Amino acid sequence: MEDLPAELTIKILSRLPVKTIVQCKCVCKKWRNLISDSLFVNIHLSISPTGLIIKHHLCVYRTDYRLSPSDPGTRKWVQIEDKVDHRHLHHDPLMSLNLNLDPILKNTWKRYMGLVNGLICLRHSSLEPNLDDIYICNSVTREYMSLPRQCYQRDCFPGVVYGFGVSSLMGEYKVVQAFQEKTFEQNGDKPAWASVLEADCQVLPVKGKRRPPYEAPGRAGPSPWLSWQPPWASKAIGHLSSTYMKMGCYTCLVPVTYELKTSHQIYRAPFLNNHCHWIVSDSKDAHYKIATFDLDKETFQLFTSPPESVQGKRCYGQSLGILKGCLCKLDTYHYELNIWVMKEYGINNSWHKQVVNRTTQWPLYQPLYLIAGLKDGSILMVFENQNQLFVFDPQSQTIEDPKMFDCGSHVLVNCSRSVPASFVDLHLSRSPSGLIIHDLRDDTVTDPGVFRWVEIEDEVDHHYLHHDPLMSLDLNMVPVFQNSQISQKGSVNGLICLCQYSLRPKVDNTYICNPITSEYMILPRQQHCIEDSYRYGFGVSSRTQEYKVVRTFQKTLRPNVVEAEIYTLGIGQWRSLGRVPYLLYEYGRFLNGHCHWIVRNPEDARDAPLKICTFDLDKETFQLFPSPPTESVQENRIDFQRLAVLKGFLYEIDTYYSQVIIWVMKEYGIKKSWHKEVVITQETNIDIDWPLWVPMTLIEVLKDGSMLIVSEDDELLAFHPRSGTIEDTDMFGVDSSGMTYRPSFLKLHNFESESVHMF
Amino acid sequence: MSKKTLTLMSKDKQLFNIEEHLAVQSVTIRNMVKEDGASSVIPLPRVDSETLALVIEYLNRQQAPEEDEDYVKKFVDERGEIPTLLELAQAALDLDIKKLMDAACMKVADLIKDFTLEEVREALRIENDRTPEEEKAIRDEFQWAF
Repeated sequence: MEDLPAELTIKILSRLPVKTIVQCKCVCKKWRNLISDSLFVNIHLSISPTGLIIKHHLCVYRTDYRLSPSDPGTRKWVQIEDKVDHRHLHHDPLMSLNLNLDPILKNTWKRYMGLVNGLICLRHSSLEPNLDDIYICNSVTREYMSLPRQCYQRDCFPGVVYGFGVSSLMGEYKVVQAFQEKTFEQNGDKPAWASVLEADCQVLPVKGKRRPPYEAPGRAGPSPWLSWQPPWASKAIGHLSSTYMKMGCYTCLVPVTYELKTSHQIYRAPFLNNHCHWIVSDSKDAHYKIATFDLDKETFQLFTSPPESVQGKRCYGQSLGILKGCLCKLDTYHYELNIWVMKEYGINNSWHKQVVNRTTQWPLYQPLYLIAGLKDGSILMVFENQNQLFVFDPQSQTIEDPKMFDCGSHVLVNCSRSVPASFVDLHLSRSPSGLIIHDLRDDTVTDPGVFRWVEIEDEVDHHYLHHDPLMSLDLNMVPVFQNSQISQKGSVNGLICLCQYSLRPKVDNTYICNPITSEYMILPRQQHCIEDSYRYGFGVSSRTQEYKVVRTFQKTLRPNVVEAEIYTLGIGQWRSLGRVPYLLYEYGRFLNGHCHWIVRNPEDARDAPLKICTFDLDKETFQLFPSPPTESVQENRIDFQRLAVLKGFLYEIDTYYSQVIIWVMKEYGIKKSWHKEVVITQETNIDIDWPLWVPMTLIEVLKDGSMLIVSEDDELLAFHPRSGTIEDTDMFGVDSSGMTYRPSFLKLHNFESESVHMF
Repeated sequence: MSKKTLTLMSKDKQLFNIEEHLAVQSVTIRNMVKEDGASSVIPLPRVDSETLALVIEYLNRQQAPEEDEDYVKKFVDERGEIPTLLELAQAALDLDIKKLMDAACMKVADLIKDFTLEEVREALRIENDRTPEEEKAIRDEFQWAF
């Protein structure tokens, strides 16, 4: 193999142990770039709201593009308030960008080719018909870059077709340009050609010209453009650059055996699932089909089309669009509009005729283009030539003009987004979980201790715990931790939440750290609670993928008033959640977007059974959670209750005076699925120091069936339920504690607005 | 009833026959068959004939799902040469045969796991374009890993 493709490299590298991955950064520049990745952009993109961009010309648009006005126009940003029960399109006149203010873009004329993740692909057709200038720009960060010029045959069919998207595997932004020497009618079977240009936006030096920001002071000027929350971190886009990877500039020619249909107005190829989509025709068949371009493999392929609709009627236009994450096709007939939606991407028989409108108020002579589907069920559409944006409500079959267009507006783009899989994500999905052990050298309150990382070789027939002495982190070496007490409050995706406590000087700090990237950050302090009353939970919300720390505290001991507050990484401040009716024990165990604690209602009787409570990191609410059934045992009283999350299951460990019961919840959230997994009694396990005065805690279950438990003497024990034997793993020191930990390359640096320090 | 066979063509224009119900373990081929019936030859312009022969050998073995893991593991173990495995992984990636791709990548990762940097470069034929200063910068940044 000549050159190892990046796609394959990532697949191999992400399977290596963390340490080797870091070493591999030294192998070559390409590998280093592959491994460095910015997750922040993805996180932010997944939560940023969708809007529209509308382009305005100063003069009325003419259909013949050669006579078109030499005005690049103004872009308006329209925010959509998109709720289930109502919608509202809102445009703040200050939030527009006039391209005439830029000396280079002035007196040219631009069209939208596509828009992905906040980047707009613009095409400038100059008066010389054989030359196209392509720009990629981010109107929020006010940056743009021009792609190298591409010359094609002078007699080329003017409809050069573009697609713009981001490859799902590598996260590379690519522009594909398909040009045909002649139309198929003139040309017979001669294939068209497409070329691919990659715009890598990660690490290469900036080549594009940076637009100077507006210097307008205060709110009066056009600066609100900058105050709008950008879909991109300006940091990430700061490296926007063009590069012609492996194939060189536009030299990769892919034969296309069909004609890519386009219109004079709307050139964009809807981008979805790593593919750009076009309506195509080929010489053999009169029917239009759908073709896709795979941005990873860089190949064209035919795609399944919906069944041929209305027989014998003349179809005025077919177009593709994206409706709520599904590919859809619009067929326009004289008095009829059909919208086909592909419910499951790529599945032929999932094409479903979703909307038929036969009572259109005006006859349709031109194709309609779909812009966006709103949550109240209505659909935003635009006519090809009439420069008209309207909202169509399929339920009432009514059409409404939101008055967002005026005579100069024409092209309009929906801000679709797609989150590419990054190396960080891929690695995380594969990296085996290990343990992180926290050793205190002497049992005083002034030793922050040492973190040791233990790898687990976890096979069906055996297990082996291994600690590489080099892979530890001595907190005594870090000035901010010296002479204080540190405890672990949870770990998710390689990030660890730490709590620091010291009496003199009085310190009460919370840290998030990643030992792999050697980063840590300090969360802001709140000084309104009594000592040592914080209870923590740390996790990542399932829907928005935000990392959040939640904690409860008490301002007074009596009465027992518990309050909660939450901190979202990247936001920079705690937010109060008000009162919580429970007292929480230990730190929260994270699973399925929820943190779990054993709790007690302070108003309950002293001997009332403890409950389980969860905190939903998306909704930010506390809720009771089903507990295991009550057991009647000899002592009749559970001394200690602990929760654990192991291999994706929630466990409860009940420690009695003379026995330990380990429960597992086989189906999350189902009360009946609590299953008594193991009972350890004095009779069967004489090795343990009976009776038990301290809680047993469960650290991990291994594939060979053994369980790692921590018992009284701070020993890490491996317990084999089948044989009933117990062995000491010799992993713990005099005073150690541990928890499971999955190393990751998630950089704290990616959470903007946080100040990050290095160990 | 005779089973339908497909013809696959490698980079060097060699033809291989394979029964359709076996070939469709490759998602790429399945999509092609679904779309146009794939009556003619399916060209695989990035796969050479030795690799394609291996892929076909893999596809031709009918496996019960429970033996699958062991079989694919043994299959790649027997071909422990890194260049072969890389070709195989690339072919499996192109043809979208997930299990084979995963196993081949895993095997390569296992083989290079304990290599020195120089050995990794040699094994994967990568040119060292880093200066010693850049390498030192990385070593300083991630001291714990070296």
